[in-house]
Amino acid sequence: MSRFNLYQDEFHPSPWRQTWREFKRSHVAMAGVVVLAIFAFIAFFGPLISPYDPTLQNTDALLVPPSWDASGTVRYVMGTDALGRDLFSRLIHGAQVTFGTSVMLVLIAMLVGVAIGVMAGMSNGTRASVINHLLDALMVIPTLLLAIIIVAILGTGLVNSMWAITLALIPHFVHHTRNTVRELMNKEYILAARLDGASKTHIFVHSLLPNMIEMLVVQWTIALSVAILDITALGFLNLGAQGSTIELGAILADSVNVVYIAPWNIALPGLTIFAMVFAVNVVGDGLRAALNRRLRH
Amino acid sequence: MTQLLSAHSLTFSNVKPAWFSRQKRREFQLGPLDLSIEKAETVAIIGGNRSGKSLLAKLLCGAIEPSAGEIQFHQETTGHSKADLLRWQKRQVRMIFQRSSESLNPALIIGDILQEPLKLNTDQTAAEREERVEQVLVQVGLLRDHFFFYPHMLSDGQQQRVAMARALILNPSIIVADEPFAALDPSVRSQTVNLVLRLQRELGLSFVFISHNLGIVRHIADRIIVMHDGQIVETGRTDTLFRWPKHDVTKRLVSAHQSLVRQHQTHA
Repeated sequence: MSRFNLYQDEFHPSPWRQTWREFKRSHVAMAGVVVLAIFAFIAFFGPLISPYDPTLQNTDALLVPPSWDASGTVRYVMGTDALGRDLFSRLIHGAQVTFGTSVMLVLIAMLVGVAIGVMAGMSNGTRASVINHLLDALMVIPTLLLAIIIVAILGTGLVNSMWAITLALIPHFVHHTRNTVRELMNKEYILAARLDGASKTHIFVHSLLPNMIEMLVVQWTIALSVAILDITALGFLNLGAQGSTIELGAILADSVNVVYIAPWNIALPGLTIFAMVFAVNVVGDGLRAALNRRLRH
Repeated sequence: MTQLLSAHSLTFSNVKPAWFSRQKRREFQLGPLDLSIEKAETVAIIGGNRSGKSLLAKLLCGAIEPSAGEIQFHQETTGHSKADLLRWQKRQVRMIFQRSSESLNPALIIGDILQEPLKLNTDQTAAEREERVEQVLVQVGLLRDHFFFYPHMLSDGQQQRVAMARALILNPSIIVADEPFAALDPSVRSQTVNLVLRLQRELGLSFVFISHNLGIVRHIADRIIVMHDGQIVETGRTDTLFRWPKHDVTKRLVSAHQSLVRQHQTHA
């Protein structure tokens, strides 16, 4: 008889730790996480790190090129715009608004959409099919168009455009949640849970939700990139953020006039938006792959 | 032997009003049928397709409610209202499904899958639940470490054992299994059969199972119920039924099995 147990120290990682371990294997996804972390940091602490007040106009330094240009200056790292405002500070404040509002509105859209989708998926009959077909019909219209229509009704402004995009995103979540729930409800383990005497809420929390996370992550990242693009598009069209609110799309719209003499005013906000959307998509894809590997190795 | 459960004129029909369809829906009616299950006996339900075997199994474990008739327990029950009796039935009669891979939630670890019935039906603490789960895992021939495994990490036979553990964990008196051996390959199948026999001996369980494999039926069943078109056409002890089948359906099933056995013997 051996006196010690060889396997005593065996370590069983929790599901989230397993997912994280799988996720770390993809370097591209890790780079995406770093970029996203930077944006999240900016969203929380942006005003603390911006060197200037983004609305401060310095008439002595109009259209100063970025610091890496021969005629640029270190005082304005990314140059200034036509009114002499520091572009770096404006980008930080703009990214804060764009990223923060997008994350928030996608969270709201997901909560509402998943709630409706689960109700539609777990019940059957007229109520379920009414919810389903009405909202499926709404999905025919692109979210941006739908958002523009809603903004036309509610009036322009950042908050109104947030509501508009939230409402436009909800049908997507409802549709995908309902389809997944419908598919899962036919599985034998749901019947087994029901035989154990599980209530509908219990089935949802303990049997459906763990199987839905993969779908939710994918939908969440798709919706987040859609939301970022829509918020900036509405801002660019002057339907979203107005006046003193600094938002990446609005910065683009402001700089269109000087695009030939000061291209950095377009290129840098554009690159920021690109980095944001790209990082979101890369992280979403990595997470989906990691969850997939964890569940079906 | 003491009677554990008996059903009287149990009926189930799925005739629904056909408002929009041109033809009337093909209807299926099960029963009315009477049957009883005794303590620690093994009952096999055989019959062709669409004979209502699976439906009967679901009725027995309370997955669907009968349209008429009732199931009685000859035991102390915990309550007398209808809901109490149904809850009692679901605890005492546990079901094992045909494909264990589909009856285990792929997103949960085995420990969580096995704890779920305990969480819903008992008020044990987390520590007590974990102890019970480990005890049952060992009972069905798995390791304590399987607590942390996901279903897809286990083989078919191991998954079947987990399904068995899930049925056993509430200390039921009857286990109903819908073709539990059909999806397994021969060696795993015989392992599982032996496991069932051992558990039955140890725990005094009644075991009701549906099978198309008359070899296994003959090997482990005490009594056989033959079904055809929603009715019980014949029931009797295994030996009697295999030697002197009375009903046409039984004769056909038995002779088909015997010709297979004979072929097998001549080839061997």
